[in-house]
Amino acid sequence: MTFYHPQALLFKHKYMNSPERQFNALTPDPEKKDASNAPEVIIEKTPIAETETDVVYLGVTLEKSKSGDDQFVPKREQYADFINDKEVALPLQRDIAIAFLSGEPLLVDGGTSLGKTTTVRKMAAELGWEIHYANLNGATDVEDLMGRYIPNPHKSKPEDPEYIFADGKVTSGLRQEEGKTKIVILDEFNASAPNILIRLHEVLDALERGGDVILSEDASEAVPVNKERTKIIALMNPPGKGYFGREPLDPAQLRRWVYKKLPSELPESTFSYSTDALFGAEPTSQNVTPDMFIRTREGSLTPEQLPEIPGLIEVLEKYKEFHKAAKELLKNRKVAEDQPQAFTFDDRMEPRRVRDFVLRFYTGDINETFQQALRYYYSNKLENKADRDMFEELIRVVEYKPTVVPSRRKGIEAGPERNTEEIISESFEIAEKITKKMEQFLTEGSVSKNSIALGLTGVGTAAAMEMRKQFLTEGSVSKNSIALGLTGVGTAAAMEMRKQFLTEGSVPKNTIAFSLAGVGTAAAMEMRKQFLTEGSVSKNSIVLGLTGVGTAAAMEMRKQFLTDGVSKNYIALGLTGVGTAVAMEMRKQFLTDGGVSKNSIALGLAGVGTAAAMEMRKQLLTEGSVDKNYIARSLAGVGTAAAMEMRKQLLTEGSVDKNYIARSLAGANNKESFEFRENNFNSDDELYLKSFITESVEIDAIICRYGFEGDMSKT
Amino acid sequence: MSHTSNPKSIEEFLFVIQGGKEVGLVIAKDDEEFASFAKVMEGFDFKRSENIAGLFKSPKTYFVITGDVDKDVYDFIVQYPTGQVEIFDKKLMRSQTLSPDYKNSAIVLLVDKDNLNKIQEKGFDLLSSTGPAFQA
Repeated sequence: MTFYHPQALLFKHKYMNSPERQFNALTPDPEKKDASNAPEVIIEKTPIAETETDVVYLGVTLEKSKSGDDQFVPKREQYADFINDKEVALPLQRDIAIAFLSGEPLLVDGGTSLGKTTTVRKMAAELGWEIHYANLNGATDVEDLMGRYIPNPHKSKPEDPEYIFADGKVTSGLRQEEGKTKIVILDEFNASAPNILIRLHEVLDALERGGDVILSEDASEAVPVNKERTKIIALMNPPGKGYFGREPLDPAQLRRWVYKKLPSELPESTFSYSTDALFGAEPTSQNVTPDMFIRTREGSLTPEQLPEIPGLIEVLEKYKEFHKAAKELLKNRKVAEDQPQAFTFDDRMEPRRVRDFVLRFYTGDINETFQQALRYYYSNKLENKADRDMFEELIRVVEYKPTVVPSRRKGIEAGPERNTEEIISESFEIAEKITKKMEQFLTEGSVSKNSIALGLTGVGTAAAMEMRKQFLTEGSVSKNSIALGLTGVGTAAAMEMRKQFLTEGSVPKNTIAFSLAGVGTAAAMEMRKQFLTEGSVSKNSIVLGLTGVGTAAAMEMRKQFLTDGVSKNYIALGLTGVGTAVAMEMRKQFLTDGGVSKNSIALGLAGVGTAAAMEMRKQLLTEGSVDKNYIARSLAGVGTAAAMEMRKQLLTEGSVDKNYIARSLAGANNKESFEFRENNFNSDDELYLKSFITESVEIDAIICRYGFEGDMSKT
Repeated sequence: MSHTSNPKSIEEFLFVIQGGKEVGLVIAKDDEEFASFAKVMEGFDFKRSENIAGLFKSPKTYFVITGDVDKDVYDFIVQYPTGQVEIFDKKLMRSQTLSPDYKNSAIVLLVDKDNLNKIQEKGFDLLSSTGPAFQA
């Protein structure tokens, strides 16, 4: 029996787009570990994770050396009390790891108390890599670094040479040895004599080329070098600022380096945490936020694969604008005004580095990867938080906003894959059907106008807006109902109507905030920010109104709320319908850190049918830490085979209220869901009917995730 | 970074610095005080070392800093807190790496004020590179 209840139309948004992401053959869903041909995506739970073969620094994996112990490898026990704070130590290790992975020379500029050298040595101890240390302060002799002829200490026979060439500190780090990876530390780099800098830059150029370093000190011996095996890191204290003898480097010399600016002093919060950690009042590793992680892939893309990345062209155009703006800000000293060490954003080097970063780290979300690259190569050069914030605003603009994004999820939309045109067409069709149905109800007078207004939830068609306006003119429907019925609609007309309500003061601002659920447009984010600035809407309401919005800006707002002390329960609930990797990571972090009801986590999974979400549900079930009814409710709108299986299991166990199972099917109107209805609720008309009507949270999830969001207005 | 402590006596200072992760600095105002501090340190089993490598040969050692201090000394001081010290012999062009045993050792630099000023002016910032410091 196949039965389509009229209400089903309201929830039959199954073919709508998922606004957060899109995939193609090159970019399989990173949350689906079993996706064929998918590069393995590694997301670490702990800031620094270690296996037998690797160490992962906030997601950046470095391979341990296989050569074993060596006098140049620092001893691990020396770093037993190393404090991994989240503001300096952990990001520094991540950024060093990125440089090591990319083979780029890194120049770290920061105060002496930050532990720059210790951090590098600690990483080397973990990785089993050698350290070759050269302090350039007061060093004037290039030969100390590159090598010189010395009397042969082993001469025992007349035919033995009188003199032999002996490597310097740097040369010994450049020599390739089986199974060894070497780090050359150039400490106090900006206290170096000019002749030494010139020679070292020749070494850097050779490493970049992947060729030989020619030892003029040894009859032009050619030493093959390999940036995979030799990592160069220069450290310096800020010029001036109480550091005697440190002069600013010529900015032109800096272009060879990836330049990272650290604070001149330990930030107050880090000082406080580190001190507590030293005394055992805090753990030695601080909790971090998911956005601090870099997602890495196995192997790199090839340059030929780049054009296949969806949205790349759009992002590139915005990147060019960003680069120009960054240069302009720097040139006019709008940023880095108080940094004594001048630097540039190089027109050739920076784009090349960003390109290589994308090749190395792209895992399916071009916006995320590109923005991380810009933070690494641009923001990292800035010390001042205000400067970084300014850049962050610019970086967020460098994104690809798909007009219509075909979701390939096998969640709600089980069925043959369709192209974008088909989806758009069907979206309109559904919206039209719903509108027509509501018009029919209106003509018949069989349903109250308030219900009709609510029934228009998620529908942003011109006809639907007309109907709303008519209700307003007649005064026949409560404005609250109209406002709530705007949930999930992000068109300009809908935003205009909300603004009108706000101006009139006719609808509580909390209601307006709720009605923004599922709308992630810039205008909606602006309205939320305005509420926050005014203090007119509670943060709890704002965060619940973020339901279904998984954009970077929305995630940022959630993080800010976390910092502000908003209850994790609200944030977890506000994540409903958001299945991005970042959102899943936030949920995992909540579970790890505690301070949140697992029922809230479960409910917040409503509408998310990814493998990772199913895994989390299973974990919660296995732990027995959550009311199973909440798991049932969390399945709302998810029509995957795995979700069906879970429903079946819950029903068989008899451990949940059947009403929740039934209602969780609303919105999941695929073949499997109808089979499920027939197999389980065929003899119970009431339950069968309920399977098309959700609870409010679930409705939000479905509408927001699959409903007529901002994208619809663009189409 | 150096923190000029104010223990009541050099004896107390020598006791306090044991087990520290940084090199201690004792600053004498004149030759007389210099000799007096050296004597006290010897009395507390601190062995005077003539070179950097010698600083690891005894659990408690001290090194006299003169105005023409070798760069190796500076390299040693800045590396000591980092868990590993690489000492480079320029004559033999050979590196030796050492791991400080912080728990069971104490290293002190003894310098008079004039020499300290000279060294600071050379750009070797001993005051920032050493840990606890003492002056009477």
